[in-house]
Amino acid sequence: MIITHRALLHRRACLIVMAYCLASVALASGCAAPPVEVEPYGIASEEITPRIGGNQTALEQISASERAHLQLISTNLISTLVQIPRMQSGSVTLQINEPQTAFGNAVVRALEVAGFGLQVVNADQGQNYVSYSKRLSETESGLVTDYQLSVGKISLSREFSVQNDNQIYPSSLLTIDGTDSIADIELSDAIFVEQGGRGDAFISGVQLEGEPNPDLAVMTVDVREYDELPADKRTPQSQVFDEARQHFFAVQAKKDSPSLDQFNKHRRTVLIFNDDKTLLMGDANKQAVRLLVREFSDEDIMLIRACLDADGTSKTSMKRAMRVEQELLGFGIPPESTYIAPCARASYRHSSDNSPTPVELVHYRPISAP
Amino acid sequence: MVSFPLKKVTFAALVSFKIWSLFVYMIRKEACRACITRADCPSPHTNFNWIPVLGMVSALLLTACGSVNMRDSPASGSAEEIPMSPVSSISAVDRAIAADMLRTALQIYTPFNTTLQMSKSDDDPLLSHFIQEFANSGYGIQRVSADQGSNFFSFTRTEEDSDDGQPLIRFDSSIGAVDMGRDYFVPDDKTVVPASPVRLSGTRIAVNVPDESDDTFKALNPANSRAVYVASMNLAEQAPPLISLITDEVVDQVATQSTQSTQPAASLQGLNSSRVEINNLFYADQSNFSSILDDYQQIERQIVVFGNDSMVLGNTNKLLIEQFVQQRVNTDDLISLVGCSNGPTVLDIGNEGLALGRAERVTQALLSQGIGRDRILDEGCWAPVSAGDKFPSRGVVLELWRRLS
Repeated sequence: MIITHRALLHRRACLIVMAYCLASVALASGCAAPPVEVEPYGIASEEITPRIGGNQTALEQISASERAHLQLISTNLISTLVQIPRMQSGSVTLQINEPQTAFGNAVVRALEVAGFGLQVVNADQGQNYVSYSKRLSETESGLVTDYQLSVGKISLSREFSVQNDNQIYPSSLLTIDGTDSIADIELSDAIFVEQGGRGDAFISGVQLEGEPNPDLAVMTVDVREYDELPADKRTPQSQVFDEARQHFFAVQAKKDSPSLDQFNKHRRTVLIFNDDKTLLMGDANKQAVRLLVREFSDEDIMLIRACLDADGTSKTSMKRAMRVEQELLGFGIPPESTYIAPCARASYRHSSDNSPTPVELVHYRPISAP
Repeated sequence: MVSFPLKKVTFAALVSFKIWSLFVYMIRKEACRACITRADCPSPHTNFNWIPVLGMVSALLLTACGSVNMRDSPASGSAEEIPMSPVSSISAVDRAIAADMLRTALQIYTPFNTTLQMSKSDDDPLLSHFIQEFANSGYGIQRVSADQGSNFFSFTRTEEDSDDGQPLIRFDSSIGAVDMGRDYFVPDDKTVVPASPVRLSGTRIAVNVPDESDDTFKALNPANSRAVYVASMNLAEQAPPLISLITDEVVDQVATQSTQSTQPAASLQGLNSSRVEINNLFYADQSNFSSILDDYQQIERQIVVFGNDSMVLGNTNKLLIEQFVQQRVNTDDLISLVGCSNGPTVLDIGNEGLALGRAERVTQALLSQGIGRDRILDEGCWAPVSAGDKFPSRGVVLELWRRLS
């Protein structure tokens, strides 16, 4: 009986040992499976290396998630920059130095994606010289990093902080200096929400440097866990810039609607795009624009009417109108002299119609002009 | 950059060690329960000496488990899909051709105040090479998704055989309205020999073609070391959209003419060679392009006389125009043309067709001399009766305009 009892006890001990072994093996084998949720979002250095004058070494010295943070920050600052009237990327060339830091690379790459002309200079030449800085501060509310971008006399800055080890959120309003045109700026703060969070929150809004703004609109943005999007579903940088530009043009179209009663039509042409999707104008259309802008005088207006959509709200038409406006800006027409006519309801073009698409361009002259 | 997660390793090791200790304690306790005397109690060193080893191995495995999740592992699968500019992958031949083209471009466009628009695509190594070279030369570079901009850069590279069977590369590029082209013999994969002069259109800038030979570039024929000015495309090929004139005055005149006149009279508008609608200067007091000429002053005026009911330019007029361009025209000058046909004609095209046809013929001659189309302001004056001293009966009035300094 004693022997049986001892054998039983030994068996129990062996069972415990086996259970431990199994648990260890199970834990160890669990290592082989890829972690499901803990891997942080990050990007490769190539994604934020500028094609012109890039310094990949600086980017390889930081982690993938830090690169992702820098891309978000530069996207946020530059999507604001493209909404400043003087900074229309289609007609502005910026002077840059070859970037030495990771943040510099991210900024230059973002400017490139935004469509700015970039000219590499060896000092601080040029009216639109780009400078930037990243400053780390120890404050009563913890470590805060302040990112600043200057283009000529225009300066943008905002503080950001890293939360939950991996997500970066703005920790201040975006401050702008050197322009008064901030009322209609729409911040691209949704890109921070796409990271997800643990009930985090950040403030969103634009303020002028050193000046009280009675119309200051500040909102708090909450970020929940379910806001997180997988890497391939997050808004690409180029799309953020496109949307910012579209917002700018839409606001300008509403705000700066000229009183055409005081103008006469002078010339008119109809540019034909090969299909409903393309933004390629082709030599003939470009030649027509070149000939049309020859006669442009300071007080004149160029009206672009592109929308032919049945429901009166066509994004592709807006893109074509913006494409023609870019072309006009490229030929030196000031942004305030171009006007995209609102989308008019037209029932004769079905949404699936992909045939050649016209854009009407009308040159108006003030009635008093000879 | 790999960061070693010291905290996680230490934590995992401690947890594993604690678990192992607990299990050893339980095993000993269970084993000792079976012992009658203390001497019977099995020694862990004899009976369970494999347990610490197992524990340590497990601890190490767990530790390793904790260290797999490193911060800098890129999560984005798309990262590898963005190619870097494969500048080094283009051949020595293409490098030499690109350098030759760049030498010409540098003389036409000043680098430090010119921004070139270039395609966003990174798929073409030769384009990437051009982007790098233009940027290094000081040009502003704007990457565009379509063909945006007044200085959009494009090129075509065509491989063909010459008339005598030699491999030939025809390289044509354009920056805005200026076209540049040249042919090159490629006797082997490391040698380029210019096979033609540099072809230029859309500019009259004097371009120097030094053609200095090096290891790859061999200038064998001095006759090719020069630039010639050619017309980029014929007028029909370009065919820009119609640009119509819609002033109230024109609308009123058309209305008046269609309702009151019973006699067939000269039309009030026509299309010039660039398909821009223009007023008939027979009725108008000023040029259709007077607003453009506000900041310019007239430098010279010549009349090219045509034969009766004829649009043939003839050798004398060709020579006259060539001399006019070579001796008088500067880069930024404008040339105003008024094609005239005033008096009776037997042609079906009428006075309008004859006047505008003559202007178009002179425009073609100017384009073939490298004058940019946007520098030529052509219009017409036509009527079945004489215009008096205002305009000639059958000729084209050429005026050279220079910007006021």
